[in-house]
Amino acid sequence: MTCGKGDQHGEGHISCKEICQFLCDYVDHELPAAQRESFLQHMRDCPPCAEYLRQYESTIKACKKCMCPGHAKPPPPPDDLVNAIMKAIGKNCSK
Amino acid sequence: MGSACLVKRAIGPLYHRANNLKNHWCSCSHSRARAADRNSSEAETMVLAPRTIPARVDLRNRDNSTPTAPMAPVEVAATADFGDADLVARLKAGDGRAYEDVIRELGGRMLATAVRMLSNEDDAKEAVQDAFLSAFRNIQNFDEKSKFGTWLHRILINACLMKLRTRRRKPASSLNELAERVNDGNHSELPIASWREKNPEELDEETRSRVREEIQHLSDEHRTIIMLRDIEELNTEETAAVLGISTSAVKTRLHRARLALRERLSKYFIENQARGMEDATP
Repeated sequence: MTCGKGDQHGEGHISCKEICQFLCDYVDHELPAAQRESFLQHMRDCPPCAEYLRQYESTIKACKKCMCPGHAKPPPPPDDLVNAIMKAIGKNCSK
Repeated sequence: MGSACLVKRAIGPLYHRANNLKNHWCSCSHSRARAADRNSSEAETMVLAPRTIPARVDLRNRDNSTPTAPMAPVEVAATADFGDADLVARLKAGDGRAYEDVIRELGGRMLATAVRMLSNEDDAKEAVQDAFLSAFRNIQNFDEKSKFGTWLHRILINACLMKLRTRRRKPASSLNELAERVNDGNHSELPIASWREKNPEELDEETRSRVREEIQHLSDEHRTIIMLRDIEELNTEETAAVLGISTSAVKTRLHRARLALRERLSKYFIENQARGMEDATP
């Protein structure tokens, strides 16, 4: 799927190439207001870029949803780990 | 020479930039605590995993060198900080019981973070050990401008990064080249096949597992940047400081990492979509 216009979105308009450069800043809310408006205008005019953005955002959301911890209490650390650290501390203290 | 100077000398040059790191790190479930922390501190010198970590106890299972299967996210308590002032005072006083309390209270969360970053439970346990030993060794340098848990987790992140640097790197895949092309040219060079994933809020366990698997299959460089920025929620400056690269390099690397992951997920979702359509055909 291509937009067919390449970078030909008119003078003064943000190009598809620039969209790629701004994507990261946009989703991280770090895009300056003026560029953000141009970015959104491009998205309204260019369905492939809009789809691309949607997939980019979906990727981040899926990643967070599958990897981010929630709010419940984590399981305690295994005893072998606790014992190993305590043993190492003991060794260190006895030096 | 004071002890602080000795600690700074012990820290490798790799980590010197981290002194500029703003004084906050927290897991994504701690955004509010993180924001509060951010207001309370400015220039605390971070104590990082020094090269002179006391010898850890070997927990490695020599017969099990295969990577750990992608781990389901361990649910983390929203407020893991517990009686910071009293606890830190006990740690600084060398109270052995306090050491164990901290390990038992925060060790589970730390291990989960380390497994996510390293994809290997043995490596993760070693990183957790290194982090605790480093923290205890340097507890006198902790000036309590941030929460103890925040400070400890930053040390863990650095211990994990050190592990990633020392072990054989998983090379960036050809998707890296693909991402390069995107950066150099028009997005339309990439196939933008339409895929309609399920709402991330409604992903079934099979899909979640597959997403975790795809993340683990990213190159170390890509997985690390996604972990730091999208999962652990370090900001761009913090990530740059931890990795010792510029903020623009962080952005570029993060963008490429997300594209690489998007490509991987795209394949899966398209396959899944096709399977769903086949199943629906009478």
